Amino acid sequence: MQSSTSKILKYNFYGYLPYCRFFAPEPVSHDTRFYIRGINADGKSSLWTEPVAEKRLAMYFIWNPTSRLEKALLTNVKELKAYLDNRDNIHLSFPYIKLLNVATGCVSEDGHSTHVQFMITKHTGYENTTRECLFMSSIHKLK
Amino acid sequence: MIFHNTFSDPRETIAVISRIAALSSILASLEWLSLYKHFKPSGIFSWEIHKIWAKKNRDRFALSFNFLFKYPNILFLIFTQLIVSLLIFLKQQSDLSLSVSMGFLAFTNFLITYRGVNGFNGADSTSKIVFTILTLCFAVSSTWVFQVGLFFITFQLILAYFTPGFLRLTNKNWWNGTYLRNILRLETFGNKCLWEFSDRYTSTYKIISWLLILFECSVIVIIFVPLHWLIVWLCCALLFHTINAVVMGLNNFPLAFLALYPAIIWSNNLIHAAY
Repeated sequence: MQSSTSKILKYNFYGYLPYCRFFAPEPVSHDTRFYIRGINADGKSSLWTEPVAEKRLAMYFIWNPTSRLEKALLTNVKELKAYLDNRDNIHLSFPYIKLLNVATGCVSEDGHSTHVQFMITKHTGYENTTRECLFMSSIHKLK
Repeated sequence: MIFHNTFSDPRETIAVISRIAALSSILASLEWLSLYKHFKPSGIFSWEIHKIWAKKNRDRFALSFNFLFKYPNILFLIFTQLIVSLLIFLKQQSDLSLSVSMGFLAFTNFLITYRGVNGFNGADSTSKIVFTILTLCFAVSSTWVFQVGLFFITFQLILAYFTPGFLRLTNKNWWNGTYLRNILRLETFGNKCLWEFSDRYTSTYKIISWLLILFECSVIVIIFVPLHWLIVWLCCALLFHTINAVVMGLNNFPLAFLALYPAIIWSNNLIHAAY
C-alpha cells in the first residue's frame, strides 16, 4: 500500500492533488532529533545541542510554528535515510548539505569552534527516551 | 434553516469559503513570519542551498525568482500574503478584486512551495487548492462556474477524509490500535497523559482507531444524508481536527478544513432539492 501511495505522490504536482493522509497508512513511530556540536582547535568538543528544536508554546493548539520546523526536519531526515544504504554519495546529497548548512550556521555563532559535526537520533517518545544514533556526520572544517 | 438559506446560493457559499480560507491563511502567514530567523542563509528554510540545486538542475523558473526567494525578501512576500488575506477577511470586495487577491495567494503559495520550504503541511496544501479554485470562480464570476468550483471543493473534502480512512482500513496495525499507540507515545505528535491513560486501558486504542476509520470512510455517503445529519457529521469532523490540534499540535487543520465545509452543505442542499 505504501508503494501505491508513493506513486500517487509522484504525480502530485507541487501539492495540487487533493491528497491528505493524516498519518495513514504508516505513521511515524519514532521521535527524530537533530543535534550539532562544535569542535575547537584543541580538539575539545562542545555539548550536543538541538538547533532547530523550540519548546511547544502553551497555546500550541492555536499557535504552533514549531510544528513547521519539526516537519521540515522530518522531511530532511526522511530524504537523508534514502542515502543510508549507499553512504559514498551521502556527503553530496541535498539533505546532508542542508543539515550541514544549519549546523555550520549555528556553530559559527559561538566564535570558538573550528569544526562542526551533526547527529540524527531516534527514540520511541515517552516510552523510552534513550536516544539511538541513526546517523553521525563526518567532522567538517569551518571556513 | 440558516444553513439551508445561506448555502443554497453558490455565490454566497463561495464568499463564506473565501473568508474562512483567508483566516486560515492569516494564521499560516503569521506562523511563517514568526520563524523569520530560519529563513536566513544558515537556516533550515535557506534559499542559498536550494539555489545550488536549482543551478545544478538548470531550473530556470526557480532561478528567475531568485530576487523574491532570497532572505529577507521572502519574508516580504509572506507579509504581503498576510495583508491580502486580512483584506479578504475584513473588507467587502468586488469579484474582480477578489479574483486578483485569491490569484495572488494561490500563486505566492505555489512559489513558496516551489522554493522548497519543507515545513508545508496538508492544511497549507488544502488552502492552496482552495485559493486556486476561488481565483477561477471569481475571475469568471458566473453561477455555473461557482457551482463547478463548489463541486470540486466537495470532491476535495471527500477525498481528503476517505483516502486516509481507506488506507487505515487496509492495514491491520490500525485495526488493533498499534499505530495509534505509536503516535500517542511520541513527543512530537503525541500526548503523555493520553498515552499513559490509554496504556492502562489498552482497548482504548482499538476503539479510537475503529471510530476513526468509520468516521473517515463514512464521508462517502454523508453527502446524501438529510442536512441535519450532515451538520452532526461536520461537527464531529471539526471536533476531530480540534482534538488533533490539542493532542498533536496540528493547529492549522481546523480552519483549513472548516473552509471546505460550506461546499459539502451546498452540494447536500442541491442533491436534496433535485430529488
